[in-house]
Amino acid sequence: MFRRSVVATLGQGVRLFATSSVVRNTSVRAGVLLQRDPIITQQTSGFEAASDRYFEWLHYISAEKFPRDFFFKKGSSAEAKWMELEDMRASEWYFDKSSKPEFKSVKRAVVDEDAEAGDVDEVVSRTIEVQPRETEADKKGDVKSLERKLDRTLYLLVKDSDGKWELPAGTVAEDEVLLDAAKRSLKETCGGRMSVWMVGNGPVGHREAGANTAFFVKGHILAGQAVADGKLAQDFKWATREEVEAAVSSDYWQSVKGMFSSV
Amino acid sequence: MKYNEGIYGGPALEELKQLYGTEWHRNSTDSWYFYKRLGIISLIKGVPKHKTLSTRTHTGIGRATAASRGAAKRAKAASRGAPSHLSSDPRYEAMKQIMFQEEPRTTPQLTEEDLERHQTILRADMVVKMKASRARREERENKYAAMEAAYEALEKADERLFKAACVRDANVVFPRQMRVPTETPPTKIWDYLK
Repeated sequence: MFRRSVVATLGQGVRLFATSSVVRNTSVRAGVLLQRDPIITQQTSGFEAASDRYFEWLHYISAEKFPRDFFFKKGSSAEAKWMELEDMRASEWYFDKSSKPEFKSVKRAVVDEDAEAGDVDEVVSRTIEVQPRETEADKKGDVKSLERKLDRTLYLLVKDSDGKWELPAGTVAEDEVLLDAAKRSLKETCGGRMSVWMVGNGPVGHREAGANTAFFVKGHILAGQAVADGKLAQDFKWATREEVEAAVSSDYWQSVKGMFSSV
Repeated sequence: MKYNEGIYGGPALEELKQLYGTEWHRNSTDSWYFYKRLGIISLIKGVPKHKTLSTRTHTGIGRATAASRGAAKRAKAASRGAPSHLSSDPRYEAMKQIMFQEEPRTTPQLTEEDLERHQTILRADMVVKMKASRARREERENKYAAMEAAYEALEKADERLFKAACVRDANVVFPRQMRVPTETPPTKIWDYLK
């Protein structure tokens, strides 16, 4: 694991009175950093998007002459689509306007009138319906939904009886290990209708609060939804990194912020 | 057996053919393979297949009758030095055109201003990429530091739990339900397990 810790452990040898909470009087709590991973990719915007367009155009104008007769059959719908795109692209020019070449359409004169009509129907039938990147949950601002902010990581926050927003955590039993305690406390706090994949056996972060130290194990929610039954958790929400920072107390955030992804 | 090199220092096929004609391989089962390989070799050399075989061989007899039917056409093709059975396919012409095209690729002509614009865009792009890369590295380092601090705290707090946390499982695999992000979401975005 971590060389320093392993070496220290070996150096200490066997301890005869190795019980819990010997060295420091803190009781250990097991928590979960439960995250819903991004469902859609990040979209470039602003300068990055514009520079991507510029470099793509530069490659396009420097490219080898496209052997259209090799790739397209004369009069085919694929050729028609390509010719349409080529004529549209011809208007794009990022250099000096005086050096822009004259527009010369790549379209061929249509010989067969009937073939053209047939092609239009073919094109229409092949359109693919694409789902929008912004969902209903985004528009409503439903913080309990797992379909909100699809390009970001969402983290589970629970509101305890004091009204504080925190990551779900619970106590560790005498014979339990950290991972099992974390899974059990998640189930007790937020209900069992979640399919979760826990990463590894150990913690990814911790939070020291006086008598308690909570150790968080990372988990990915794959399906299902949390339920706040009011016993251990008053409420829950799925929040992005910024929303977590806004919801929790500032010293809580300082302890746990290292675990969170920026995306 | 290679055409130009023999096995164990023996004479090569080409040498054998020159020395003894095609008779030496007539009885062997190699003859069919030899005919096939000769076909490939004659393609490379640009010589028609039936011209390299004597009509006295097993395989040669069969081929001779077929050849005699289109003899005039093939003879014409042979005189040009091109394999006759290939010229009918128009794709070969297209492939030759692409491979040996006369029009070279032209590089774009830039003015002084164009060059300055290009260099500015390139420099800005590099700066943006560098900042993004550094941010990613910082995030990674923060995550590692948080994990390391947690392990050290756990070691001090509870020896038993620390030892259990240090256990490394064998054959850890990712669950199949962890999908790779796509540009647009699926029609059923989330399975609520109802």
